[in-house]
Amino acid sequence: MLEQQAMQVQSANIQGVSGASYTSAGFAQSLQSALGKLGLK
Amino acid sequence: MASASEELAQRLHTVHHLEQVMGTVVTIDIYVGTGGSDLEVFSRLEQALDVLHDADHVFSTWKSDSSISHLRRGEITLDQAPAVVGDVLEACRVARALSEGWFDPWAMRGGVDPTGFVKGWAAQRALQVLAAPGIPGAIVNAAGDIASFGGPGEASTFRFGIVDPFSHERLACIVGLVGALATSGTYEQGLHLVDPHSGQPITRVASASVCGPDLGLADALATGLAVAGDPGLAVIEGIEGYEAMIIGLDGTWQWTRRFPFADGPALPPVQETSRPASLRDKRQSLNRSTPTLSPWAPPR
Repeated sequence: MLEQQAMQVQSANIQGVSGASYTSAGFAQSLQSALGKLGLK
Repeated sequence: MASASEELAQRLHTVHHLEQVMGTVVTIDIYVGTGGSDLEVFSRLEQALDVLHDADHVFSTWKSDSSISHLRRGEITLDQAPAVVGDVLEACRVARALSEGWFDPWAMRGGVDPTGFVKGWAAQRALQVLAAPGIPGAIVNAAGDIASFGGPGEASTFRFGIVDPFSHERLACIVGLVGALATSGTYEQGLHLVDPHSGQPITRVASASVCGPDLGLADALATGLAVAGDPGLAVIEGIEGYEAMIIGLDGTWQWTRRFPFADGPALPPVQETSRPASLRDKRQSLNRSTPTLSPWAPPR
């Protein structure tokens, strides 16, 4: 799952992800979190 | 292959910060220019974090000792609350009027609840603290509601993905903008939206996104749009500077005429250079589509 997320955000060349509000607990599974781990473009 | 703007962006360095606040994680990205000093940047970052924590302290409905909780329980009057409470409720009144009643903190159970506005408002205020010489761009992303200024490089806008509400590990589409982008949906935390007209919990869309200059208003409008569904789109069309798109419960997409899709709506992730101009033009004339498959299916 996380690898797939990383591919998504990497190929999209984006700087942020907008979506329904996640909780602190939900953040780790979010695309925004995956994007942050990749480092900012 | 890096474009010119990407190469420029790489010459800037970025400060990436995660802050646990307001019951969620707020992501802050600061693009530091060649003239920016780290001391200045980190001082600004600290001030921005204070803005978020202060907002949490005053407006959290989860904290029993917050000003808004005292107000909701009738233990204090508005006059006894910090002045910022009055400011926020006044801004909520404006948002309620602009949304034609679809966003209504006074219709919430348990007394006035400006939560649908406050997170965006606080993120926008935090962003404003970061506006300084030597910081050509910054993003504050409060749990999926984004405030931004500047850009990732010279003469380029930010690209922000919108989560596919039916498959959260994918993006539904990408928008290109500088400013605010808020998305409301129930797929993360369940049914928490209330129809101000009936008082009942409801959502009429899978995902509702609103962009514009200010994240407080965009957040409120996205909340209202998720409750309103289709009729809400016409309301946003009438608000200057704000655009919206909704993904219906049946997967249908609809959007206002100038919604800034970066790569055109419902298009597969093809290379910028290989996309025919005709596809980009279509988004001007279409405002409805039913994708037969998720537009961002990753390669298998």
